[in-house]
Amino acid sequence: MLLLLARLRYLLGAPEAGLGLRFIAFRPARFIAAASGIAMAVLVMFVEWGLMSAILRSQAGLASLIDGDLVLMNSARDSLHEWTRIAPVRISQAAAVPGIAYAAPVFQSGMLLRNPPDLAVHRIVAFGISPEAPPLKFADPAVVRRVLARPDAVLFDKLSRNIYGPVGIGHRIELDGRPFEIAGTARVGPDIVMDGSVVMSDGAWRAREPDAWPVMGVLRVVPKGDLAKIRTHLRAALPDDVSVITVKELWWREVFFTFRAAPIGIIFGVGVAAGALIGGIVCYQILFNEVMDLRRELSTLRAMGFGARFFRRLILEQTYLLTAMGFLAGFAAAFATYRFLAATTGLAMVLDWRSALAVAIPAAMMGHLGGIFALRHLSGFAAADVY
Amino acid sequence: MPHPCTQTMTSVAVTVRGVSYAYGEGAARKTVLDEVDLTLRRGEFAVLTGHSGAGKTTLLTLIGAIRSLQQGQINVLGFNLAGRGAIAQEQVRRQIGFIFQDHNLFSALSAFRTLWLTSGLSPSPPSRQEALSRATALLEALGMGSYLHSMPGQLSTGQKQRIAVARALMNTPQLILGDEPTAALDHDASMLVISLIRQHLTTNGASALIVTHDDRIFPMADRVLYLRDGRLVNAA
Repeated sequence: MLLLLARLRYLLGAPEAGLGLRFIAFRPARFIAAASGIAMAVLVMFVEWGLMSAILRSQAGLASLIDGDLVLMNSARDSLHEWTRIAPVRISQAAAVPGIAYAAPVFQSGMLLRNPPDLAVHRIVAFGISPEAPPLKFADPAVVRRVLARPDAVLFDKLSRNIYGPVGIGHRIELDGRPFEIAGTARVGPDIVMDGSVVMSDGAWRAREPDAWPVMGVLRVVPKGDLAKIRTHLRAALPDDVSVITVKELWWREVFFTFRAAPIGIIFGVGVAAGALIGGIVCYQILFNEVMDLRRELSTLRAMGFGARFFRRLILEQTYLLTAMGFLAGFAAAFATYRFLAATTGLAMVLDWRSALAVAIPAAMMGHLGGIFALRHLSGFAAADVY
Repeated sequence: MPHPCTQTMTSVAVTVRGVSYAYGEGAARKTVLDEVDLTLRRGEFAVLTGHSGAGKTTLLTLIGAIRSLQQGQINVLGFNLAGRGAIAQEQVRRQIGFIFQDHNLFSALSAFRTLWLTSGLSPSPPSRQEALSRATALLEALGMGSYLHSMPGQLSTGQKQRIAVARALMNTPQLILGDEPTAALDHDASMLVISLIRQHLTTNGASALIVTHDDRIFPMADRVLYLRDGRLVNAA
């Protein structure tokens, strides 16, 4: 540690310390233009990364709303957006397994929402859950209990996209031709497939479809129950047409499915790479111009005996400074852009340290590579070039 | 193998033996130096002159380890330059104070910052304060005491050239190689520069080889060498 501090003190006190900064600051207009170019590349990376994260998060959003330990699903079901159903008896069978304290079905289907004021019809996702012990955290359980106690009442997802016309508490709508009243709000959130949601009671669901099969069962184990052991018992007790997975596994499964099958990963990964490439080229171009403009001065230093290490430090200090300034400007621009995208798409655009790190790494790489390529030109200068 | 910086304290600073140098290839090949021999003693102030294209700068750059030798031997401050690689040449160059024809100062660096940066080439770099004292003394000796923190853009060509002279002397080199160092200077400034170089030689036992057409300098030199058709002639 002391050695490191001594080294740091030497570096900061050395005559070449801050030389890159002086070169950059000497021509502020050029510096601003350069930082803006890099900021634009950083913004592209932030937007690509942010959209990918938001899509993955929203596609797996339902998994994070599950209020339970284990989920029972049709073993042929690949993702939460396939509503492959399970026989209701599987829920009862699971409830009978020792260690299971709670088992509740979740009904889900697409419905047509008709809004009487403008008679517009839009597809919406409908959930049917038990109001007494909700398996999904759509809203405060007391609100769910109170609202869904009425068979003609629904909770409307207040994060739904603004396509359903005027909706609010007390407003009457039609779902698949049956009248309902919006008696409360829920928080589900749209994704790239669905624009909005309504939640009704499982009783209301069965009233419209008496033989309905649920899309999943949410299970809770007894307090201090051994989750792995209970899961093994469940697998032994249930036939192969259902799978038993933890909520965490479900979330990751959904993320990977969307990442791979959509193929979100490739689409946005290419976007991030393109941003990094643009940034790298901008960095290189700026430093290349700097090196060419200062060719005689740099050759003079070489003729005086300054070595490769000095030049590497000079160029890389500039590239890191430019990248850092570009990153900060890009981060600020991304903050505003994320807010705009979140408001217009309804996707959960989150600018947190993970996003910052995910963009900072390729940004640092692009800056470093831009600097290295510029250095290659500099290494082509001979001391005799001073003449 | 001795370290390139290892100096053998002899009475000779530079020896040049049988050095030839040519530019170009094949039919376009042009010899600019032909079997040149030269000895520069410690403390000696030699001026090298001759017609344009006579090979003066080429010889200077060969002695300064800026160019690689093609033929012959050069020993600078106890180090044989023949067959040495780029890193070894770099080490030798650090021992030499160069004054180039063009000042080539960085626009972004003040006079002091330029001199302080140069001090980083010293085997034992001075502290900022020591560098400041040294830079102040040098610039005052060159009539530039009040320009310590001036940027090149604020200086005339002659003033910039004097900063370049101070840069060459910053690390108290044992050898000074100058290429037309007074070309951009008026008479008074030229005399100041040459006087400072002479004083440096006297104080430090260093040597100087100055390429110039400026005959005002000739009387101040210990020896004037004339380069004609690639061969060296002792003029005085």
